[in-house]
Amino acid sequence: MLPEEQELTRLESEQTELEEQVTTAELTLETSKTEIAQFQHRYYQTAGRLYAQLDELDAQIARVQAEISPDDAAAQAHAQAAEQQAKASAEEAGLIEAQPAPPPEITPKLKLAFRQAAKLMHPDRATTEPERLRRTELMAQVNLAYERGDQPAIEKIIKEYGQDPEAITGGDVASRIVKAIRRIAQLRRRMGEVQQQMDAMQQTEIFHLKQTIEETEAMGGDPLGDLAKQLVQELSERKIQLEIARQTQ
Amino acid sequence: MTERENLPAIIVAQDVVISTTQRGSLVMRGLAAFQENKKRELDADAQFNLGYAYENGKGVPQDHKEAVKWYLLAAKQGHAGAQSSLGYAYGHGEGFPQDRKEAVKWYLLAADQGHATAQYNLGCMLGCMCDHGDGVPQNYKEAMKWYRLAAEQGFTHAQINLGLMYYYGEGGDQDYEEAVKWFRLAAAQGNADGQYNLGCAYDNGEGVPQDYKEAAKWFRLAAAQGNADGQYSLGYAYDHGEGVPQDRKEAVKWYLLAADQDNAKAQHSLGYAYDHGEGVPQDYNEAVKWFQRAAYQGLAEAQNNLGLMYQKGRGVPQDHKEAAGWHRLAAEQGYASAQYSLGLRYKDGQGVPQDYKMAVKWFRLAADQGHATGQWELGKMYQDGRCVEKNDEQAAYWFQKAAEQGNVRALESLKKLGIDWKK
Repeated sequence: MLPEEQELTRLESEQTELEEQVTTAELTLETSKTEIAQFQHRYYQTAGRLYAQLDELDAQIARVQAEISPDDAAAQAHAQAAEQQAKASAEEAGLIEAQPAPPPEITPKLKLAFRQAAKLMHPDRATTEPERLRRTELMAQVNLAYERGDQPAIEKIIKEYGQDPEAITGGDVASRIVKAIRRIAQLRRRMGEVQQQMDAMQQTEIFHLKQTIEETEAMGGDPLGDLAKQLVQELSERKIQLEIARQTQ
Repeated sequence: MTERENLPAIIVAQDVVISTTQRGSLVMRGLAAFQENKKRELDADAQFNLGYAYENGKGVPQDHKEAVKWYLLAAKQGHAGAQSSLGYAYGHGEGFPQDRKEAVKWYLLAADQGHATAQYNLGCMLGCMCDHGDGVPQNYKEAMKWYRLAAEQGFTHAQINLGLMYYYGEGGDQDYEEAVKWFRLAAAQGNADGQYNLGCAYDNGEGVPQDYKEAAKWFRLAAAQGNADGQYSLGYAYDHGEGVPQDRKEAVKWYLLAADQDNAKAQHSLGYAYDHGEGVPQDYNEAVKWFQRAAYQGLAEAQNNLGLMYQKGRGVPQDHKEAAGWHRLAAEQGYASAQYSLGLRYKDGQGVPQDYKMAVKWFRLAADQGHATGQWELGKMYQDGRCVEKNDEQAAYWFQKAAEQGNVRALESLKKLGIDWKK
């Protein structure tokens, strides 16, 4: 076996191993995301929606109080803030639909990035059919990123395009070595991204909340139920306050 | 209580300041609430543990006042264990003056949180046989509810009390099968009272088909754990050969164990064994000793037998007065044999001044309960016209009653009256 053939075997086995690792990491990440989404839903259904109701009552109380003293600037500002909070909470809990995000701003830099990408990887400039398909796929991603106003995404596609192992089509040993090296580099990058996403996810509030609650539940507690009870109690207190405020009106 | 809590609600309501700017996302708020609760729980746990240490003198000198102080702090934060302990402190007047109403209040708080001991204690307070007239009215239905909740958690004392409520039909219809169900659960957990009660159910065939063998099995399990009722019942089973081969020696062994625990029935049975030399060598002194211990506890059979020992001068110097005294105690409890014995004392003027009127009174009470010799004696009083108007019809009536039970003297008397009586 030639030394370059040995090197190719080594590289390809490293690639296989790395591919397995990346797949596992991606699976873990996706599973966690789904679990968090499920937990979040459960939390909003039990406690979140009660918090939103609480904020709604507070907003009503603040409104009544603002109406009682129309000259009190602080009361007016307070009522407005309370209403905003109530709206935000209702949106978060999924009680009302959130406003769609405003369309992105098309900056000159974004336009420039798009031009670069189109010039580099336009499907029409492909010489073979597989290459044309690859470019079509990539350009579709660029178009989507442009619509979102996502400049970093376009830049990332450009960067990866040049290093794409799929661009190497030759079947000889040298080509295969280059292809494997590129693929390994790509996998390492992906691994880094997955780990970053994982770390970021573990920093989120919802992740901490999930952990806290699941620890208590593992010991046989019902922390969400307890919190809900507490909130229901607060709700009935707020209702009384609102009634009293209305009677003063 | 903070000052704010003392303000009228209207002022508090107007004073509501909502710092909306400081409110984070709903997730953040939930997280903060849990962390706060956890911290409070830890505090409450520490307070409860300190209260427990003072109550039981563990690591600190026992001090009920100090204990309830800490329990109160934890209980106010919703600590179920502390609430239950506080209920106990009020119920038993430990560290506080006794206040059953307060006790119920705290037990309720803990019981609502599912605290089994509190549920059981609450059941005990509400299901108490007597109304204390202290603001805690007897309520069998409620008691049953709390017993059931604790029983379903596997709390054996509650299972037994729930079973007993079904057995006696307290708080609902009598239901032996349901009673047995709960006794069995407690028994299966190794609770001696549960085993004894289950044994009784088999012994009497209540809720289960009568089965002396099964009864003896459960009595033995209870007895082995030192349960006095179980020991007496196992002794009785050996004494009468019910479910086990008759063995008087074995019977005496178990009676003795129960008698040492002040079980009156066992003391009486032991006295009887010594009196008749069954399973032990006859010993009147020992018999008197055990009859006395049971009689002092108010057991009518023992009082009557002690009276007989005095009358016959067995194990004690003969003393008719003393004998009549013990017969009277038993007779007044409605014990037919004692009523007959006392009637006899009055008729013969032994230990009491002769008084036919009193003799008739006590003979009649015994006769009404079906005491054969008492019936014959009453018949004789009618026949002889002693203190009652001579009345052969009445005499014949009572002679027949006695004869039905195979009383030989009654048969004689009937024959003398010229009545050909055949069973």
